Amino acid sequence: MENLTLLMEGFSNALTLQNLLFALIGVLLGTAVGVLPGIGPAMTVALLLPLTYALDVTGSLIMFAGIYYGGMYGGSTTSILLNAPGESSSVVTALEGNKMAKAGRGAQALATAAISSFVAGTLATGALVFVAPFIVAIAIGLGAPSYFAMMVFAFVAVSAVLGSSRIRGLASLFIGLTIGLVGLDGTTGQARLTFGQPLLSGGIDVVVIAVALFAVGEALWIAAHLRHGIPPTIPVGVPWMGKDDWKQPTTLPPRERWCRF
Amino acid sequence: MPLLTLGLPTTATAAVMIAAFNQYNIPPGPMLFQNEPVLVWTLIASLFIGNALLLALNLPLAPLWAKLLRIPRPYLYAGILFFATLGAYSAGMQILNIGILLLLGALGYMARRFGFPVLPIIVGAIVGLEMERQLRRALQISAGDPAALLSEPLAVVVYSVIVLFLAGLPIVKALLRRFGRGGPTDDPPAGGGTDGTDGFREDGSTVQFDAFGTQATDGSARVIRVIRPKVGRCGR
Repeated sequence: MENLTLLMEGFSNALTLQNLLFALIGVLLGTAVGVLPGIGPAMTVALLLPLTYALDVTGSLIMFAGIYYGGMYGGSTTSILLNAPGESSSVVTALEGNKMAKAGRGAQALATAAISSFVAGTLATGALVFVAPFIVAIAIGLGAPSYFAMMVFAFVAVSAVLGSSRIRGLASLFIGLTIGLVGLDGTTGQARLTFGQPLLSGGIDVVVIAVALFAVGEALWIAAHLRHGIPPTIPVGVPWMGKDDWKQPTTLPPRERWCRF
Repeated sequence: MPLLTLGLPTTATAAVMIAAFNQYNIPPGPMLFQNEPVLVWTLIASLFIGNALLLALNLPLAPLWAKLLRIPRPYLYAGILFFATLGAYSAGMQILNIGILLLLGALGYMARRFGFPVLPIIVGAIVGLEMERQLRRALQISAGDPAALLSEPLAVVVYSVIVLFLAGLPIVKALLRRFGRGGPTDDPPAGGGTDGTDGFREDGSTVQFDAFGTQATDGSARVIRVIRPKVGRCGR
């Protein structure tokens, strides 16, 4: 029950006016960028990173978490109305929701997504509260070999399991590792991939990498494909669910709940 | 969120969040609960609050969000490029950063163009150095003996899971395929090409079902390797 006490303490911190404001900004911003196809929460957080150097740590992390959640929800809006998932996690929402929207029940589909998202998110966070202390208890005894193994796992998951093609995933991973290598070696001070540029010895700033790959890459991509035009949006009616719609959400939460966690 | 508990990024957003933690010199991961309990529990509490806020905002605001989709793309991306350049410059106050920005931006475009996922690039760039540090630490303690990498039980378990994933996944898929339904992900929506942040884009859906390495052994076990995008799985 110790974590519950800690959680309550957390609530008392999070419910200050300043932190609530950060959460609100994060959630609003996250939803907005989640709705817009092509701009995801990752790009937004990357763009905001340099702006938050000076901000309060807790506040800006709360804002980022809000963007993360808002982005997930916003993605579902886009999926439903355009049948184009703004986020890979909302593909299922696109399949189900777009049918509803096409049947003239777009608003109900959106509301269903919002409620499902709320239930899933709350359950996932609730699970985190109870599972986290156990994981931490285990993790304290871990040494470098275990951390290394877990990072290998993350790499394998990201490049070989989640993507479509293992070879492409691995190629991407190694490009990323190479970019990460630029700069002075932390242990020996050896310059790696700096091409004699003293400015590169500090490495490439993560902000630059993230913003370039997400924002600039996406903008160029859209510029190259804009001639195809924007798909029409399905008009939205009243955002309240009818009686029948309450039966619908059962198909969504289990999957999303696990995805969130 | 594996990010908070383990410090492992499995989504693009989580990868950037790790960069955010690093920016404040707070290494994400399990030790966070020990070192920064106030921050972590405040963050978790704010997740609950954020969820509630989302619900409160989005039920009435849904039609408004839908209108957002009507913003002309050129305006939108002009703004994004502006902030991207500003952010890159302010990251070190160096013109060189803008050059790198454009270079890596071109790389990002090429990745999208040729169907390479962007997520591994960003995760590799962010986590690579930390991984190198851990590897070195492990090898320094063991005086260069690679067997030390298997010296902890968790490490062995993790490697086993990796092997199981890589070897087992194609078999499971083949079995699913063999016994009728291949799960709900068999039907990727055709228009799924507009997401940019997660790098799962494949140009259209042309590459999805064409890679069959079929291998029949005495009729009992038929191993089919299918490469297809796992849209709809827990991508992010």
